[in-house]
Amino acid sequence: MRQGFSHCIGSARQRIVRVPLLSFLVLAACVGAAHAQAILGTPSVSGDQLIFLYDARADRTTFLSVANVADEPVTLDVAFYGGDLTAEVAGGSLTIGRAANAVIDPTSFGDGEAAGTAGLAVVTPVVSVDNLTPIVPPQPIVGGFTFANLTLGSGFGQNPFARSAVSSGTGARAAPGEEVDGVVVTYERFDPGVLNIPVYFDPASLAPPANDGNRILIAAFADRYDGAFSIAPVSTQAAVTFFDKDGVRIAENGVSINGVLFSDLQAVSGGTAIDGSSGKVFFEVNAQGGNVFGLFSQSIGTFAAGQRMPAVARVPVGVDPPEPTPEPPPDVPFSRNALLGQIADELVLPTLRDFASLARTLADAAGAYAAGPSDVTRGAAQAAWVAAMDTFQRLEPMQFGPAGAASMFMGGRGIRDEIYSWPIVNDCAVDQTTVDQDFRKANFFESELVNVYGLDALELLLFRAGDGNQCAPRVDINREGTWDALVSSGGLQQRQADYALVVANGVAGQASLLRDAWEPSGGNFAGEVRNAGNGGSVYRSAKEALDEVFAAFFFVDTDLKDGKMALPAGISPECPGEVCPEDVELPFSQRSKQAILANLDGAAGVFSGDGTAGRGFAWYLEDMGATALADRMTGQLDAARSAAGAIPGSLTDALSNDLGAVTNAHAQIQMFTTDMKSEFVSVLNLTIPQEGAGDND
Amino acid sequence: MENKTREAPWDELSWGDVLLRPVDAASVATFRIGLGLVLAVGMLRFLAEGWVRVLFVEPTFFFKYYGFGWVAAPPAGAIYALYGSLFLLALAFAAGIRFRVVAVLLFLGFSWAEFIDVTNYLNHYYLVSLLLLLSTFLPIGWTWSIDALRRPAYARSTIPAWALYLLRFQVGVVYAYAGFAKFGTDWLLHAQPLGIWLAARDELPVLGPWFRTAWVPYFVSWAGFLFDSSIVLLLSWRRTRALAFCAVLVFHTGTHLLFDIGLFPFLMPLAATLFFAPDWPRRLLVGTFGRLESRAGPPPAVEPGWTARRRWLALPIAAYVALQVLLPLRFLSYGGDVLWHEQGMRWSWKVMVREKNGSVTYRVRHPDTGREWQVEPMRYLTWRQANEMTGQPDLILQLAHHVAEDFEERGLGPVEVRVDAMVSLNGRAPERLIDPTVDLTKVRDGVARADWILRRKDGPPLRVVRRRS
Repeated sequence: MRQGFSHCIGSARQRIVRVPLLSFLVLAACVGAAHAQAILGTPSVSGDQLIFLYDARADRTTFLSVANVADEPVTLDVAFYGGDLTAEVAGGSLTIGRAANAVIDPTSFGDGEAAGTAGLAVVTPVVSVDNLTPIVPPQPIVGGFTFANLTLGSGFGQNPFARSAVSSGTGARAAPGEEVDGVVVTYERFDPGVLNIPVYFDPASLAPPANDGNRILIAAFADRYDGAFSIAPVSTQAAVTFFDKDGVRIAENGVSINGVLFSDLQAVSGGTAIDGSSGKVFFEVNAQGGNVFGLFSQSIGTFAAGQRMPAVARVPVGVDPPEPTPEPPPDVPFSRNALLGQIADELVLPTLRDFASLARTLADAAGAYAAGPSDVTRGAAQAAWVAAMDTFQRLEPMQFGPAGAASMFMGGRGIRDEIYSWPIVNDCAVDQTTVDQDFRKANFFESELVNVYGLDALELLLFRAGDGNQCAPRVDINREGTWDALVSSGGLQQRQADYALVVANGVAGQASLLRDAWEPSGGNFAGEVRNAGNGGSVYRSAKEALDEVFAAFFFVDTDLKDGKMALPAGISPECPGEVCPEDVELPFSQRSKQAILANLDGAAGVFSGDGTAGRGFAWYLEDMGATALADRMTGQLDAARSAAGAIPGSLTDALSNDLGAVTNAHAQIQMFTTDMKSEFVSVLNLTIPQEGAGDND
Repeated sequence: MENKTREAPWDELSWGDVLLRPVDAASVATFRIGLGLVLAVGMLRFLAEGWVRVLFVEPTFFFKYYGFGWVAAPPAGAIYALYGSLFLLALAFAAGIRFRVVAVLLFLGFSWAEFIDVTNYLNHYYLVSLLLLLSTFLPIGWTWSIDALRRPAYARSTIPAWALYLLRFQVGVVYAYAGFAKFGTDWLLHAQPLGIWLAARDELPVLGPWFRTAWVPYFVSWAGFLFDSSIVLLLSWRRTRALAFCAVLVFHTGTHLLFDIGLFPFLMPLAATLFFAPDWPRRLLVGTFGRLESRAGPPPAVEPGWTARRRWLALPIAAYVALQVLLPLRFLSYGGDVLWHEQGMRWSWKVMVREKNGSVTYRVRHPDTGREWQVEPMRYLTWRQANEMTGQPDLILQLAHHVAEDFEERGLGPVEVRVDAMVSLNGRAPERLIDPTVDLTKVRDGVARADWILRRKDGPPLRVVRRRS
């Protein structure tokens, strides 16, 4: 249901030409056409369909066993899918008699085509060996499987990932013999929201990951009911959070899942140190309307253990890390120029360097994707986009100088909008550009609006699932059938990959331009900021420069609090419904929450120097004798970050599942902005840009 | 050109003699020329700096003055034309071309522009409007003017003294009440908001480093209070006049350097010259250029004493004087801190006495469905308007009504509108300005004490304790 729902509302993201009534009708049509589908967080151990993980690669072996606990025979269709889940690599049918069981070796099943592969095995009760229509078996079937590493001589066993066939209307298990058609009767869907590895042991004490010392396997797939049952891969992202044994959050990262993810602790941590006696991991993952489940194993010597990952409600906030030994404050007396120097040299410029590097990596990944479109290259491009976007979002509260608009900021060149123009986005225009191939024009960036390129357009091009588009039926690409023609020609993915490459190169170019504008070896805008008020700086005074830093910092109020949170949460009257999930910032990648968190991280950098050697505006407040205000606002920002981090799953999911968590995060940010707009601005006598119009008394 | 009566002992003169005696028109003519030129520069600044666009073209909503809701904002083209016309009228005012008509048009045009949006209110714009109003009937256009050249028979070298006194009175009111406004604990005991403002201006060459010291804000606060409170007396007394005028120059030069108060620092020294002997420009010119030939006709024969006609004409002038004295005092009838509740704040010459910022969020609730939205003022206002509005309860109320009307027009009403208005005065921690339980759609603006405005808690403003020397 959710896939259909999100597909329908995708077109309502065109914020430039908003058609509320049409959106409502489309939404209503989607909801009306949808049917209930039961959700399982953690897969069952017995059911009307069994799904196994298998690994039949060299030096590894898997045995699957299936037992019929009914007094009637059951015919099973067994299908092996490789890791990308794009095709069935082996398959066949078998009938198990009353109270009988069968053991299946992937390397010998059928013609043994599954040998050397690893992936999913789907065991589906069917009408007969000649009629593979899935049906409800007399009794739920059960089974088990073993994973063995022949090199280590170790292995472990596990029950399969099972689910029931249920009535769409009632959600109750369907009657034995009923056809599982995907409409009246469907299989339950695995949608955990958050998967958890309850305990892992110090990876350094285990065998190397290459030798299965620890294994993380997460499968993401969609159900296909088309006479016979089959599965298809789902591409999605998972936000990974590590906690140590004491509950301290020690690492955060993102991973791409395309079909089955075969990974390990070290890889999903993104290189952050996760050693320690033990810990736990959470994967916030969006099933994209399909299914997600996971398995974790760890082994040392001949000892091995593996368990399915349970679903949990949310990623906990955790406990605060022990206070580090306070560093003595830098031996620098406060001055506005010292503060500006810290913001420029220790916050903005390093982040710009990181972003420019990540944007180049993104362009390279997009190049590989365009050269050979596949789920693997697409996943790599997605991962690169996530890394670049997370860093860019940290920059958002500090987009003054060349990043800012020329009409608002000294030295403004509008580069921010060239890189990422949200909330000026137009998904339909991106799809139109995909069809008309304007992105191939030499003057594409000069001749087109910012809403058809940048990181926002890339999100759609890299993350949107399915072959649909975001335009209304009356729009030319639908009315004239050019979109459908592109889809039916089989060239959509290549076209989107080509477009993504152009856009990614544009982003990389603008990122370099922006970085170079700040670099001492380039435009040296960092020097302009640091030396504000001194001869040669574009700023006539340090106060003028701080006014502009503050103007950019207002992003926290207008864009973050109002645009990213109040609007989708239905707090703002711009949202015509109870909530507006179509207005989340990043609907395709489902990274809206992570964007909010990154914004808050950036804001903390500006306000208190969080994560840098600087001390931010709080330093200025302390110098003015407003230490209590500085402490209060620092605490408010920390509370806002915790509240945003406590939003379960994606922002879109939370809007329907836990709206209170979203409104709580909004309220926490509002507390900060209330102080920011009142006492803070008074004490520091900061001026917003338009305030300068006219005179005072 | 002092009249003989000027030398007569004051105790031998009646009020009528004092007010009606002719005095040299040179000082008011100089003031007229200066005021016209200052205004012309002001109008040019509005056009050149893009303020016409920011203040009149960009806003989609305008705050109305109580009782003046009928004042409409002209379309963009017309407002540019208005300011262009005001520029030309100001030059004509200075030159004295068809003075009476020009003065009326300039007064109406300037006041119209100022009455379009309350967030544009400035005390010195109000002063300019009053001076222009006085100019429409004071005989100040027949001296050193084009009109005097074209029609010598009407040219005058003197004016009745009451005209000069009325202008002096108007200027004196500004200074006196500006001093009175500073008579408060924030200003005198805590040196706020000057402490905040000076700390932010410590980059000023030479003086800036002094602003980092703890005592300078106190010194400047007290100096400002004493200056405003006493400058009229000091300017009026011949023996202290020169020193007082030096103080005027120093004071207004300082305010010009420190604060963006536009033409005020130029306008007030000009106005202070009205306190000089009425013939000071003539003596200055004679001293500089030698004897000047006057083309003015002889002083009009003045009929001594109060005639019935004069008594009737004096009535509106007396009413004007009374209004100017009483209007700034109306805040006393409301009690509490006028800088906080702002009832009686406008038209009272409370010049540069508060640093007020806040966060205003409207909570709009549909009573039938219980659905509640939060509405940010920026949805309807420009940055500048929103910033001006946050500290002014009557404007918050106006926008609340507009929000309700907007929801109604969009088919979402009728709604209740409440507000979370957290406001910081002179660096204090933010407090609620408006009762958050009151449905503002049920509140009508008026001159009565507003019980929906919360009183400020007692407590001192920010104490600036800078850790650097």
